[in-house]
Amino acid sequence: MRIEPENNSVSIVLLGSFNAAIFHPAWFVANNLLSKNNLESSEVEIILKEIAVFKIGDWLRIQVVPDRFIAETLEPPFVRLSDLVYKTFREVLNHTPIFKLGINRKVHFTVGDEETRNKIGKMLAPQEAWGEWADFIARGKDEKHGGMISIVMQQVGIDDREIGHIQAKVQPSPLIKNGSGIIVEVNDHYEIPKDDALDGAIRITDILSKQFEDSIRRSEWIIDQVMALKEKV
Amino acid sequence: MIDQTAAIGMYFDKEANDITDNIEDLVFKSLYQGIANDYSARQKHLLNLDDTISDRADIKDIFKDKLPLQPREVHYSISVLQEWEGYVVSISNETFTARLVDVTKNCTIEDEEADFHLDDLEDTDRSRICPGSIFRWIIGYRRSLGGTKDRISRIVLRNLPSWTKKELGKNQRDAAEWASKLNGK
Amino acid sequence: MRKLPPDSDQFEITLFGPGYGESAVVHLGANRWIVVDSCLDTNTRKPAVLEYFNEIGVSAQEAVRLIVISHWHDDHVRGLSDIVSSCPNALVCCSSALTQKEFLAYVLNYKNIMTQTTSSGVSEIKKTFQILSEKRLHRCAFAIANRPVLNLPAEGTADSCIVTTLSPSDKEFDLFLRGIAELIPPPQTKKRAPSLCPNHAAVALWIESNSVKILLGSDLEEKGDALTGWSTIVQSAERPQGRASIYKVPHHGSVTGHHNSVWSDMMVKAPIAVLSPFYHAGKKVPTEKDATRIVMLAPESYITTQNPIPKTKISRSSSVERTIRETVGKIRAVQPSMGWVSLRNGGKSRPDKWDVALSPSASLLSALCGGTD
Repeated sequence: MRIEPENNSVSIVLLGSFNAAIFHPAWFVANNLLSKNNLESSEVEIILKEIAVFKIGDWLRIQVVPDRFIAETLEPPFVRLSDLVYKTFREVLNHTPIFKLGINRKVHFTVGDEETRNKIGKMLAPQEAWGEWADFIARGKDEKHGGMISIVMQQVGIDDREIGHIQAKVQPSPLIKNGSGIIVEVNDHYEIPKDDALDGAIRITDILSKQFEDSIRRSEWIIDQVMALKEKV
Repeated sequence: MIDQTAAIGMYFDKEANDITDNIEDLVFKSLYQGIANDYSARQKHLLNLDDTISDRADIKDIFKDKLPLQPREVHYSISVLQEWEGYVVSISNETFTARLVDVTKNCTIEDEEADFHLDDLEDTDRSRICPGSIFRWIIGYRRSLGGTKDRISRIVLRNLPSWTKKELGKNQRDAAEWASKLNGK
Repeated sequence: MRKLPPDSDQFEITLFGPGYGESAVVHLGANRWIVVDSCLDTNTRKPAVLEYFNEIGVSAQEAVRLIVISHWHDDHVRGLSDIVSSCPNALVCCSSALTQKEFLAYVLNYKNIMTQTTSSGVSEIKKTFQILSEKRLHRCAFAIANRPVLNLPAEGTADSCIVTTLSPSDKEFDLFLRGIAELIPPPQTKKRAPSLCPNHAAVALWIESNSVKILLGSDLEEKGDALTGWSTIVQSAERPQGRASIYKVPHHGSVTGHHNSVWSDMMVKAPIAVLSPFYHAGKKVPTEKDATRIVMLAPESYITTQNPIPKTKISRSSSVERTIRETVGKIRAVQPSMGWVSLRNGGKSRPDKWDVALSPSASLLSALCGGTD
């Protein structure tokens, strides 16, 4: 990517049926999924029957609710996250019904100044398309003005999957304070038919192991397309 | 949509002192509300029924300090300039030699080799490294919110799946069948 | 690289390496070829043998009569499955130890270690045996001591020719399977398949026609055991008699592949010797001592490349280069560019007159003598 991000993350999201209560760091250690050192540095936010959230530094955050498992990392090498999720649902919880997988790559980056960001927003979502309302959008008040706040593009019919899509969302970044920040998040989404969900863990982890690195590479390429707009405005 | 696999992107808008809404967030919030209701109902069951605890907890009461989807306070960001995957060829007292595949260039054949210091490994990795172990080596920049920038080099052993008895047993059976085929039996 | 194929009555041996291994092709006359092992050209990443056949206008599909597999680890046989696929009419020969369930279980255990990058170490041999078991069961021959595996009649101006495997011995067969059985992985994190040393599946070959005898030494090592290695071959009463004039020196010229009696009893005086070097974990063979020893026995010895191990050819950003220097000092390229040595004789009229062609990196082995390792 041509611009060094201010913030960088990768997450793996699984949709299926999960028993949140088991997802304690100690359980991960007991099943050789994490090391004892990780246990010592873990911070449990909440563990209930319906929800589990803990983190280990900035390299791992796990969030689980009955129908969703999310693993997120801010630290490369990102394949470490994929290894953890694969091992969890292939070796230990391989009977978990899972039927959707998302591999998500998100970056916040700055384009230098707010004016450049506004120009990029207008390239992605030309205000003129909104006809007479465009004037009202462009008007501001008290240093605030209207414009694009979110845009999502989707690609379907992708050869490497039966069901799924790739979505890229672009938004202004609230984390970068001078109004020059943009978030691009790419969601690489895979599904198996719900009827196959019983061996879903096996099938989904197969997809994860085959696709993860290519997915990250492709997502970074998509993000770079947006970054390139800085040079075009 | 609750069935989307995009990671939830909730950002705490400090000015509005509320959680920025989008469709996913609204649905997720209602899920938490359900959990909160159930949680408070259970609390009521355990406590005196005449207690004046509200019978409907709000999300913020249960999760107020622990709302999992608070934006993470990120103090730094790491950009990777170069990444290799390596496998250990040999280990001596203080070093190990490894063959390297350039992941950044999307190579698949190990073209390079280097000698690493065992001290550069994390303690847990140092205790489990052996010939054949597979790792990732990244070089990049770590940038903090304060603006400082450091070059980093990090070696991380991959925690690949383990062989299981079931898998080894299956492989034995498959191997016997394969051998029969190859030997024309 | 040569541009034309050999004449019908010419013998040729061309050795390629290093290239994640070594491989050789031998022309037995009348466009009948054998291929021994496989390696990739480090520049093109394609099997060196197939690239060579392309260059000289030989159809691998039609011309290759025998493929000999004497290695099984990825470090030595990259591209082997491509060669087997490209030569559907060839007989495939290897130690039968490689087709036993112990070895196949080893292959299955290590086949998929879930990395997208590094190979498992046994990917190539697995693909190769899958091709064999799916397509051509009847075209395999097992290498054992003193077994003729290919017997070609005279054809046109070409003499008849017999190819005999000299190894492995019965004891080597047992040792191989025992060694492999010890590599059953414990229930721990998967890792790359280890290699076994010495290579008890090595297949030494004796190639003989009326006028030419060639000994291909593979990786066969000598351990001083009368029932293994070169000792058992030299002492065998059943081995093909006669003396070879061409010797592919075993085990990259390492002293572990040396046996005095091979030179004194199986080779003519001062044969032509060829070998390719091998680099591993910063060390290389042949050493200067090895080179001196071989040159004393065969002054006309050739090595496929005498290039020293280069620093990596890949250039990276200055930040990355600085960090590399600070962390590991330097990164070495695993292999220098692949080289080759090609010998063609003068056909029926001058069978002992060998024309030598060398790649730019190849040289007389004597060039390695007298320098530093």
